[in-house]
Amino acid sequence: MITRKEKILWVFYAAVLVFLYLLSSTDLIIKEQKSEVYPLSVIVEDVRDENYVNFRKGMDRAAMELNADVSFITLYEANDADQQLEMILREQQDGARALVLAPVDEAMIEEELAQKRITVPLVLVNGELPVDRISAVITTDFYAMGQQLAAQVIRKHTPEIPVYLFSENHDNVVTRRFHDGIMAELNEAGYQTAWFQSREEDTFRKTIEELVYPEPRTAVIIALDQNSLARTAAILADSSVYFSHIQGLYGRGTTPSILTALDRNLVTGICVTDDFSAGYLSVKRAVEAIGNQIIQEQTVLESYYIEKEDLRRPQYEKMLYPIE
Amino acid sequence: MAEPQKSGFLNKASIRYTIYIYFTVSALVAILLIGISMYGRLSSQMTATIQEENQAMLSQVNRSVDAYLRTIMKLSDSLYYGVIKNADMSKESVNNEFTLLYDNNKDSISNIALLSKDGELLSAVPAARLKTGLDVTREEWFENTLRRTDNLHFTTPHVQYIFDNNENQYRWVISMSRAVEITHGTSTDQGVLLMDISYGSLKQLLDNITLGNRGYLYLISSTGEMIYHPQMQLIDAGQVQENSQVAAGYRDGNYRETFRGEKRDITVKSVGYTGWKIIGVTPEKGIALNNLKTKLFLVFVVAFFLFVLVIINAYISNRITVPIQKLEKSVNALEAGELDTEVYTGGSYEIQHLGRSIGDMAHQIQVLMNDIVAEHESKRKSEFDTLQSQINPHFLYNTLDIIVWMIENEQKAEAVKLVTALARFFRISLSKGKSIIPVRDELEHVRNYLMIQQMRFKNKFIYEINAAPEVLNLASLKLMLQPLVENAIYHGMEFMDGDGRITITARQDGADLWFTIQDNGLGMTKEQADSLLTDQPHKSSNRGSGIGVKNVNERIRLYFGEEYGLTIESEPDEGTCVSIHLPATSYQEIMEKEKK
Amino acid sequence: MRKRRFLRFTKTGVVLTLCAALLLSGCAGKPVAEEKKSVRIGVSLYRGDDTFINNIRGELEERAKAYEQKSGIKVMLDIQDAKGSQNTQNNQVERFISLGCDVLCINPVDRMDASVMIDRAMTAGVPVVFFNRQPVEEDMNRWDQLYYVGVDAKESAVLQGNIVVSQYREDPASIDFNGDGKVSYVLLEGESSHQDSLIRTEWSIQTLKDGGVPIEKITGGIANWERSQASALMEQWLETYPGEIEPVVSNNDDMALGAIDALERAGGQRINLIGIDATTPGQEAVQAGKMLGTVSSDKGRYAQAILDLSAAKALNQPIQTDIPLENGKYYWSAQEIVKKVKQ
Repeated sequence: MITRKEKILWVFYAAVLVFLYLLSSTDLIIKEQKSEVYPLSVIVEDVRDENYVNFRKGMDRAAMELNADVSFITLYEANDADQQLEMILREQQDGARALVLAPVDEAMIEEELAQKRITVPLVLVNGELPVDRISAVITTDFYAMGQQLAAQVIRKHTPEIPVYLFSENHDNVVTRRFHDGIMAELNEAGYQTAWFQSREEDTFRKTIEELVYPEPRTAVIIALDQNSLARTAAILADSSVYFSHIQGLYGRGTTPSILTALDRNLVTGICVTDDFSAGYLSVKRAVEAIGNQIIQEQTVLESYYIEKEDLRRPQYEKMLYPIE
Repeated sequence: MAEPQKSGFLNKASIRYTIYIYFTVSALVAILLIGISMYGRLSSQMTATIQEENQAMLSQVNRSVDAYLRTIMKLSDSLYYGVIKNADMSKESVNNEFTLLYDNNKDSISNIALLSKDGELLSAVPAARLKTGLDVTREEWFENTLRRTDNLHFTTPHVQYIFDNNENQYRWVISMSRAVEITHGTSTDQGVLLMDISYGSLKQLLDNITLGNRGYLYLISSTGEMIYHPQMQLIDAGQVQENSQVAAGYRDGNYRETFRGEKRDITVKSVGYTGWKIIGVTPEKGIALNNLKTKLFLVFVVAFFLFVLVIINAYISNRITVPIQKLEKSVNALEAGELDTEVYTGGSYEIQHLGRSIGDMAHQIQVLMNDIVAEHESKRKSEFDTLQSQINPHFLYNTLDIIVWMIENEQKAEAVKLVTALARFFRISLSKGKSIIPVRDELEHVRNYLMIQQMRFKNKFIYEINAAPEVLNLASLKLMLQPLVENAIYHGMEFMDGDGRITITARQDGADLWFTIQDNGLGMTKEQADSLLTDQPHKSSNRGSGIGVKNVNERIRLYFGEEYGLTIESEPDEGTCVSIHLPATSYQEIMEKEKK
Repeated sequence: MRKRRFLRFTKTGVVLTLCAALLLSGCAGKPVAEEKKSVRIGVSLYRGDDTFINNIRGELEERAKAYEQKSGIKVMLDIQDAKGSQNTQNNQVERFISLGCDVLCINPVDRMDASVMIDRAMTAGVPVVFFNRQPVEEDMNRWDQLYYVGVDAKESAVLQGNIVVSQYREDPASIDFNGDGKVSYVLLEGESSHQDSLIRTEWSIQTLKDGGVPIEKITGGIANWERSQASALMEQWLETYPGEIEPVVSNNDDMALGAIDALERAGGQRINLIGIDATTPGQEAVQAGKMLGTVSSDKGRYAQAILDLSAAKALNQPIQTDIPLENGKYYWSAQEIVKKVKQ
């Protein structure tokens, strides 16, 4: 005869069975991990993504692998720090779970972090901030890059030839660091330098023209940013006269047009970095930050100086022309 | 069979719980064993199936890549044998034919170009020109092609370099080249036919192939250079590693390797002609059955089956144990003394049988108990009779009469003898209430009786008492000989007229004690003899103790057992011999037994 | 007693039902009222280095930003390059849909093979705005949420032809250099499978004929809209037909620029070039006098049309009246001739 105690045991057992069934065969308790999509936003300092071609390829690759939904945000006006902040706050509000930032004004970002206005994990690209405030940093030592480039210039050209520095009319941390590195080396070696910022459309052209007319001179040009390099190369392409007065055109960047210019001997030498990896890692770190697991906090990418022949070397070829 | 003391719980557990627990445990063990072995089997089966499928897939991919390359090589053949060989470059252009063949293969071919030995571009489809200042003859593939003219040469993937291209474009290609004979008018010269295979098309072919269980495949050249890998860009960037250098050394077949702490199964298949190898990688980590939910499901299945089995067990064990319990209840009642309870007879055959048997036994007990009661009753009655007969008033009166007469007749000596005998007679008759007395005393008792009776019957008979000395201390029943002698006197001696003779002997024969009472009286028929033992003690005789022969027999049998007792042999007119058979036990022994 | 219990039961039942009804109606009412705060547009280009397409892309990005600033609705523009592979484009469409794009703007690689993408979009209920490369009519008619923004190829060709016609009429010698009464031209054609190549070629030549220009074709070639291919072809032709070529009629600006590259390499010859598109470098070439003229199709309006259509579809709003749609589907961007501004 079944006692009361036994009846209770039976009912309890049946309940456990039902529970186990629900656990194992239905989605009510343990939800099948739907692959989570991580929304994150990448905010750069430029208005276009021309200079981020390889970076985007790396980003897209990581986004596909790690199931991230990446929004690539450009500013309305290049290097506008306030606008960048606005974008940051807007993206944060719209649900981005992490931000990848190429900062315009590092101090401002630091301030915002201190005031806790930025609450999502932040991955910094091409910028420097104390690591305890940010989730991860992926950058290149632009100062060292500048030194590296300057060293090459020094190797190839004698100090009599003036060195012109071209840059866009924006204040940009990367450009500034690059500039400082170059200047440090050149000043030490006693080179004559002059810095031209393109306040007008044809500042560069006019500067170069001055080399031709009234007095024919030569100079070496170092472009401090990608846009300047591309524009200068285009100028030289258009006119062989101009081209003959330039001893060498140097700069940095990995956009296809720059690489083509290098191939066509318009540009003498450039410093490059593995932008694909930078893009890939930035998204990877961002996703890791969302999941609260950072593996490495600071990644400093190497910078390489290359000339035309190096374009065909396998290690550079793969780096500069990423397969998608 | 000394069993170690099991735990008290198990010992005291009712049969119901014991069956329950044993059933359940065995069911659980069975289910677990089945479950584990099935799981193991399924697991290994799945792994085996996945591996087979991977193999099949790999063969398929091998064929696809083969076919792909073959198509391209055939194209190259068509271009050469079909077009170039038949064309005189000084007169005609091969562009149209090239265009036709190119259009049909646009998806996989990026460029087709015919170059002269000196590096001049003779024809190119789609329209293209060599980069300014580029000397094709210095290119490694160009040199190789001209050096070994019998082969088709494949390069590893690279960015297309020799042609002018749009600013923002770059193409990854695999260059395939062969040496050709170009006809110029009457002379022939060497040249190179170059076909740039679009790497994207190869990538597309291989990109969407996934091998089961998170496997993948990659392609390497004969020297170990990576041609295709799902994560090619990342490997080049150093984010991911692959064991390609080692794999390059493998021949076709299956291997097991450990790379970065992970065990993997490797299958190597060579692609024809090019020397490329397809490497299929399957990690050996367990399969999808490792899912948490699957594990829980297994637990659920085990629990569920256990549940069902336990219910069945409960039902079965109840069917067995409930009758037993009912039977037990009946037995409890019996133990409590209610022998009349209805014993439960139900359940399985064995329980029924048990029930019936117990019922029968109870019944039997009851009967036996009744028998004992009856026996005790009759014993008591006999005792009572005996007790009663210990003092027979008639015999006393008669003897006293005689004594009075003797005293009146101045036969003092005889009177004294008679009184003494009477006293002794009655004293032994009483024997302080004991039923067992020494043979000595019993003989003394009957001697006194005979003495008295002899006097009364004026010496109508003589008597003799013979007893071996060793029997004197044995045990005998009281009032055993006297009633028989009484019978002998009154049925035998009455008409003897002085020739009557009564002989009493007592002797031991091993474990037996024999008394015989022999008389030479009237005797009796066999029927009479038998009836003496069976008839009721009809009337108390006034001549002796009044106890019948039957009574004696009964008492002997009651006290000593059924095998002892009286036997009567008689011959009418000859005499009668009554034998008494008793066990030869010493009187001491019996006394000691009784004390206990 | 029973009656009381029954009453209580009914009361509770009624109260519960009311609550449930309120809740449900509340939930149902919501989606209609909620305003959309952001719009997600997936854009796939058939080949990212096609200059015209690039120009359109640039315009689209700018206008998206402007729209964002004006309306306060965030525009997420996801632009991908299909690199000339329909397969890649199909994958991109798949990805857009899975990421939850509200509307797709597709520049199909293979206009004959748009059905896979259309199927996908239809199943997901995502409207599509095709542009620049027109899917076949049967495919366009499969769903009413398919649109096309483009340029009337015939119109472009006629305008292109008219550049030479008007120039010829003004000054025949500027066209017919050697004065032999024949205008000997070479033709640079776009992709053979592209509807525009055929139409432009046909109508351009026809217009010249109709305009009374005595044309004679020397040769022609397919340069697949690409500058480098045109450059190579032109180089060959300059070698093969030295001094004979008068105008170069090109289906688009990129190829015309390629021809210019070849000319510059070969050393300046007097050759007229006409193109279509008025891409930025094309316009520069015209202003620099290297190209006779080109046909502009107000890329600004073009991109704006794409954007407005997309935004309207994404926000479930009716399409603005300033986007006239032929058959409810086709928007033809206006065009005009671009010639060197005479100073």
